[in-house]
Amino acid sequence: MNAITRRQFLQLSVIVGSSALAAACAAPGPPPPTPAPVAPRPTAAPTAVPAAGPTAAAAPTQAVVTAPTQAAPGRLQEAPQLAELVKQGKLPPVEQRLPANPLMVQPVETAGTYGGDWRTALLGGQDTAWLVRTIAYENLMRWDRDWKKLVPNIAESVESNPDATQFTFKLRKGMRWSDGQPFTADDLAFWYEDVLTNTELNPGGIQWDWMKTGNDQPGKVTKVDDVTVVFKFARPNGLLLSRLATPDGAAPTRYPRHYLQQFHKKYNPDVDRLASASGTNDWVSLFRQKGDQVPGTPYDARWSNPELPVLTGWVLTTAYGEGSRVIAERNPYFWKIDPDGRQLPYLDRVIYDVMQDKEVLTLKALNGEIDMMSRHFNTLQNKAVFTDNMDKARFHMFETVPSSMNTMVIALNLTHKDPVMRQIFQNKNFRIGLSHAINRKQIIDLVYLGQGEPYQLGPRPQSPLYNEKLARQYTEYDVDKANQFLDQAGYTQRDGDGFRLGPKGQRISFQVETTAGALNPEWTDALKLVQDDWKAVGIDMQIKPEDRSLLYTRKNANDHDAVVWGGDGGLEVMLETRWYFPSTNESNYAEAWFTWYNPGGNPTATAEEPPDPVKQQMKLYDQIKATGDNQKQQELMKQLLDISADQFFAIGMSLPANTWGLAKNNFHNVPKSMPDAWLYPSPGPTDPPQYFMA
Amino acid sequence: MVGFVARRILLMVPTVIAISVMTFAIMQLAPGDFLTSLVAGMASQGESVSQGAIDALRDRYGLGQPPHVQYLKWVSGIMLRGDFGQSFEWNRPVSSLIWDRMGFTLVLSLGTLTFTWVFAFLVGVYSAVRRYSIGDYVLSFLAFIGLAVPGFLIALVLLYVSAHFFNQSVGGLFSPEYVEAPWSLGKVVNLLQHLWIPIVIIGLSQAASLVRIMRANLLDELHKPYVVTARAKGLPEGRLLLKYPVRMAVNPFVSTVGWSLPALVSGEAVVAIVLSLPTTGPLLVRALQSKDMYLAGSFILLLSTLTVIGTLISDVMLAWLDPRIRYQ
Repeated sequence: MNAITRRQFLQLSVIVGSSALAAACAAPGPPPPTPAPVAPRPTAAPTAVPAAGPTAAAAPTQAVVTAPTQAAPGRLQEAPQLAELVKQGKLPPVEQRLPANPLMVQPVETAGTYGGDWRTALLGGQDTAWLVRTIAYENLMRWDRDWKKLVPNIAESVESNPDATQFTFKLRKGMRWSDGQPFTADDLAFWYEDVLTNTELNPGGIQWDWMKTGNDQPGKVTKVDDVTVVFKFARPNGLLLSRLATPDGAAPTRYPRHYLQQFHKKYNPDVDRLASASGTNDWVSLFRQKGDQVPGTPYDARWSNPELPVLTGWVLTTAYGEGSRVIAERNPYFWKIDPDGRQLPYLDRVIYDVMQDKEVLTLKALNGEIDMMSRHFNTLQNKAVFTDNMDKARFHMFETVPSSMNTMVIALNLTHKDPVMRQIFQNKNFRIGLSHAINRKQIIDLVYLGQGEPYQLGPRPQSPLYNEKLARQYTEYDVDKANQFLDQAGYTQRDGDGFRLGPKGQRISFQVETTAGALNPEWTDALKLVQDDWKAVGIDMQIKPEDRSLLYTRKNANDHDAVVWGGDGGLEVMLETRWYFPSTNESNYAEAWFTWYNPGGNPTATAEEPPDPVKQQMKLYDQIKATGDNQKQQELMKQLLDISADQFFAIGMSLPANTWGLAKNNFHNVPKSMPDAWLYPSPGPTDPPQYFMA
Repeated sequence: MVGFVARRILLMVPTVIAISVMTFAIMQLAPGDFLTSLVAGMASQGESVSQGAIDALRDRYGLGQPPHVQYLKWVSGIMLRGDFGQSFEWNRPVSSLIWDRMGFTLVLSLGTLTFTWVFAFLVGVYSAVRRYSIGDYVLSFLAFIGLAVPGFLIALVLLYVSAHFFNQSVGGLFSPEYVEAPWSLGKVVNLLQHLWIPIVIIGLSQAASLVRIMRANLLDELHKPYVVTARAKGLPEGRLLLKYPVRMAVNPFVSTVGWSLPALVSGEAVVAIVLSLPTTGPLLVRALQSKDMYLAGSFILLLSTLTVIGTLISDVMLAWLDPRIRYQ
């Protein structure tokens, strides 16, 4: 029932919205010292950007994206513990803690009740990603639950001009940090002026790529008034709003100026004394320790400094690394409510047990000691044993749809340093022959437990950008056809062992590098089967399992014959383009072409001019970034993918099957199915603050 | 005796210096550095890092400098300021990281050491004196199991049994209700209830080998003429046993002190990982995996230094216990 009601609700709220908006904005924001008896008007679940698909990830032209209000559902309510604190005078009343226009979250199933601890877990000391996914997904913009649209979140509304060079964000009047201090446009200005453009904090240049539009010139962020901020760019920045909805987009709203300025050189000339008193080398280290992340590492003050004020539903009380647990408690100033006007979150606390061993975590989950989680233990192999334990440990499973479009990609190095190898690998008939020679059905049955279907490197079938040819070409297992293509490639001569000879008369032999150890052990298993398949058509392939950091060093330096990696970008097609054209240093088939496209992107490889079709793709992608029109972006991306299909850069294996997560039977409002990706940091976009236990 | 000790202490200095150089060299041998392994790790989880950020970090951490410069920087920090450097991964001083986990580590290690010695001494003596009795067979059987089965496997089995049949919470040193509770009698009791599992698991394999050594040594002594003489003179059996042959056979106990000291810090890392114990072992393993250079290096240096000191102590104790050693 919830899908239909939700849609109807959204339509209704659009109509109601525009008229009520003005009224809501006019409502004065109640500052805490002066009691203001104005009942705030909550917003409805925000209306969405029209026609933006998950792949689209786009900003609409001239769109005003608004979170409209609806009639106020009566007085605001709060959790009993908070009411108790208010009674004792330790906390201002709920009306003064929430913004004038709190965001209303539509529950997945039903409105919940207050109370309960959400028990979940982290693996090892670096598992910050699960913290981000569960409690930190509160950015200016967010994805809707289906990953179809962009909706304003911390922003009350956003407006962009036709050529996507200027974005005006309206904030929520009267919104507060978790320590009760006001959250205003000043905080965003602090991020821009004192963090983003501070060269001491960013010696390597601006760390947020989406703030740049070519030539390394960042956009400008200016405060208009307390609740209005304008982002302005020299060139169109069509993907800005999408980027703001990804985990990386937390940046503008994670630096509380009132707290962090004491650690900043510009505001506190004495900061170096403070730094040495707390045992850090300089103010940069101190600032990072107190409120920043160290770009490129998992270190993030949000998880190590419980003093840092936040805007999220739960506030850290026990930091990561301090003990065997990480604990976050309800934020009394959280700015979201349910349809009955009750302040979220419903759950009192989120408790993460820090485990060191994956098997022990699995046992813990099997034992019913995890309330909700979809990470680490949710493998295909484990599904059976969890199904057996469902009744005893009283949990159920929900489905997660991976955004990845391939279980494993074998990328031959098209820009190999050895001209002979390069000639062989660049021969498209050679790659087609190899693809036809793989018995994908067998690999799926033996390695992937029969789950999935043969697939190349194309967007997933759910995606509006699905391209039949790109996804399915050359996946048929046919040894005759394989031999035919390899003969056509010109390698008809064979040596005494039956292996084909290359252009210089030597055996065609190459190494496929893969990661050894715990990460994706199934790649090595599958490669053994591929090895036999290729031997049958006269190709000598050697498997080389190695530490993944060695693999990374080697392939970034363009020292590899071929490597195996996963197929990212099946749903977020426009944001993750590594397999569609050489666009990042994860494009393992052509590091040298990527380096030509982005000279600073991979300093260890030598740049090399790509062939014309690839240059055409790069041009198309630049046009996508330069337009704000989603329709046009889709059109351009389709053209780009057609070229990918013609190029056939790398060989795919199979479409990954859906994975799963578990929730206890008394843990409610978790959708039955959700996408699973890093750019859609599941389960964050499904609104954990509305989860409840009963 | 004084000359003996002085010579030993002097020898320790070049040993520790050599160890520090080796430690650093070994860490440089593996391809890549902390940042490459970090980027690879993050990429496998679908996150990406811009090259500009990586370069800036490499500068900041001084990872681009030649190895000998990095080494001198590290060692001079330790020698001059007692500064073991900063952990890249945790963004905190190495010393504070290690100290944080020292308390539980010491409790666990001392408990293990006590258990090992008491168990090995009693069982060793018993099975030597009552050779080929049923008790000897049963205890030897147990000891061989402890010796043969890897600790982490026993840990996993125990965890499964306790979770599956007794509905105990999996992993950690406390029940969930005590984890954040302030220290109280209940919490201590709860700790003891959980602590015996790792102590037995870690202690068992060490104890098992000591039992065998004790038994063999004692058996050698038991039939020597001085024992027969003492018995013929009418010395009570218990007193005779403890005063003469056991004293001769106890040397291996003392020499294990050398290895026990480093074990206080590193413990049984694998068992600690399986049991999710907040000790230093898992930290060391993680530091090695992620090439968190200064953390791993400081750990190894600390362990090596403790081994060297432990060896000195056991040498001194042996020399005191057994005069023959002093004159060699």
